[in-house]
Amino acid sequence: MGQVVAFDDLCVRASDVTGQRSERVQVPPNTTVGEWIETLVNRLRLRRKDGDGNPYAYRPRLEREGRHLNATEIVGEVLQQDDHVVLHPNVNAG
Amino acid sequence: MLLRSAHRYVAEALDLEGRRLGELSLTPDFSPAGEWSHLEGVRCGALDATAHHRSGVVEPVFDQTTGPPYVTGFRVRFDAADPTYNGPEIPWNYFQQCVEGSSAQMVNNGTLRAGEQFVYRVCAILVDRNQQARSPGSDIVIDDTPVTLALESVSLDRCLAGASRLGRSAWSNRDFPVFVPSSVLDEATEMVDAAGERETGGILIGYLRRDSESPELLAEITAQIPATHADAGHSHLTFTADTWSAVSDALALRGRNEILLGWWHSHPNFCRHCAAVMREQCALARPFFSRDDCELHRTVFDTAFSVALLISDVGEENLRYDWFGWRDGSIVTRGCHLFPGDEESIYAHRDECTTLRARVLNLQEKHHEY
Repeated sequence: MGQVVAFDDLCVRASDVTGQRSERVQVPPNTTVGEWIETLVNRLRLRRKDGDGNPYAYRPRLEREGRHLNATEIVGEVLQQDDHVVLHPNVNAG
Repeated sequence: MLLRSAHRYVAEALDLEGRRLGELSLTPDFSPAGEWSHLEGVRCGALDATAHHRSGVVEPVFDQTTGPPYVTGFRVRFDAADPTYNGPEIPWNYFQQCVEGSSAQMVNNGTLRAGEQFVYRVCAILVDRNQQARSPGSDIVIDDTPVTLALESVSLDRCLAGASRLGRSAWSNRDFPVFVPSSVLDEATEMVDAAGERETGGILIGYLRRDSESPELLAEITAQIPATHADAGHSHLTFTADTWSAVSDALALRGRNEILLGWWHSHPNFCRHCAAVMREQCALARPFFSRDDCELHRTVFDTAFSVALLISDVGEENLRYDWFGWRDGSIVTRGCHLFPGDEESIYAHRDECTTLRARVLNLQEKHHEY
C-alpha cells in the first residue's frame, strides 16, 4: 500500500487582460513575482516578444487588492488561496 | 489555444521565371487561425462557446492538382468537436507574413538579393510526433478554467433593421456582425479633437450575443473606456499596465458583465506640413493599420471576435473611421453596423454612463494616491 503526504498547495487563477485565457495554476511560494511572471506568460500562451524580437513587459494585477504586484515581492507572501491575478501588458500602437 | 501539428511547413521559393531557388523553413503561429476556426464553428452551431474546444490539430489541405506536399491551405480540427465537422479552410496565403520574415535566410546565404521579388509554394511534410515540443510551463498547470461566453439572445434581424453600415468598401458577408452606437464614435471623436497632434485611444467594451433565430453571433459595443495612463505621442500610443488597470476598474464600476471587444486609437495628420504633391504619394496620408497596431491587436485582442477602430486625420474635412478585425486568421479591414442613437439598449443608460465615467475618473485618482 502506498503512502503519500497531502500538500496544502497554494493555487490561484491567472488570466490575460481580456479574460479570454484563464487558468488555475499552482504557486511556487518562494519565488519572486518577477520570476513567476515568466512562467505565467508561458502558461497562458501569451506573446513574449513583439515582431522585432523585443520582449513584452507584463505586470500582474492582484484583483483582491486592486494593485500591481512588484517584481521583487515573494509570491507566497502576497498571494492567498484562490486569488485572481491578471497579467497586464505594456503594448504600443503606432 | 493549444494546437498540435503532425507536419512541418516549408515554403518552396521560385524566381519570377519559375526556377526553384530553395526552401524556407516556416514556423507559423497557428493560434490566430485556430481562434478564427473556433469562432466560425461557434457561428454555425458546430462548436459551443466554451474553452474546452480550444485544443486541436492543424491538418494540411493538399493541392488537388499537384498533390502532396503542396497545400492550398489548412484546417484546424478541434479535439472535442463532432468529428464530421471539418471547419473552414484557411488559405495558404496565411503563411505570407511568415515567408516574408523567413526570406532573410535566403538573403543571408546569397540565394536572393535584398529587395528581390520571388514567388513561393507552401509544402507540408509529415514529421515524427515525438519531435514535437511540449508547451513551456506545462508542468505547473492544474486545469484549464473553461471560459464560457455568456451569449444572451437577441434578434439579429431587429438589430440590422435599426442600423446602417460603416466601412462599405471593406464589407464582407463572411464577417460576423458588429454593432456600435453613435455615442461611442462621438466620444472618440471628441477625444481625438482634444488630443490635437498626439494619438489617443481607448478600449471598446460590450457583449457577444447570439441571434435568437440562428446560431449566428454578433458583437454589441456598448461603450468605450478612454485609455488613461497611456503614453501618447505624435506617432505612438502605449497602453500601460495602469491603462488596463483603469479599464478593469471601469468595468467593475459599470457592473454589467461587459467584456473587452476591441480597442480604438487615432492617427493625427502625419502629413500636415508636407507639400500637396508629396501627400498624394505618401502612404502616411491615408488610413493605415501600422505594424505596431497589428502587433497590439495580435498580442491583446487575438480572439477572433475582437475588432479595432482607427480614426485618422488625413487632412480632409472629416475624420476617417476604419474598422479592422480577424478574417481567416489574419487582420483585415472590415465593416461595422452603426446604431443611429435611438436604440434602447444603447441609449437607455446614457445619463447613467456619464455619471459612471465621472466616478471612474475619481476612482483613478484614488488609485494613484494609493
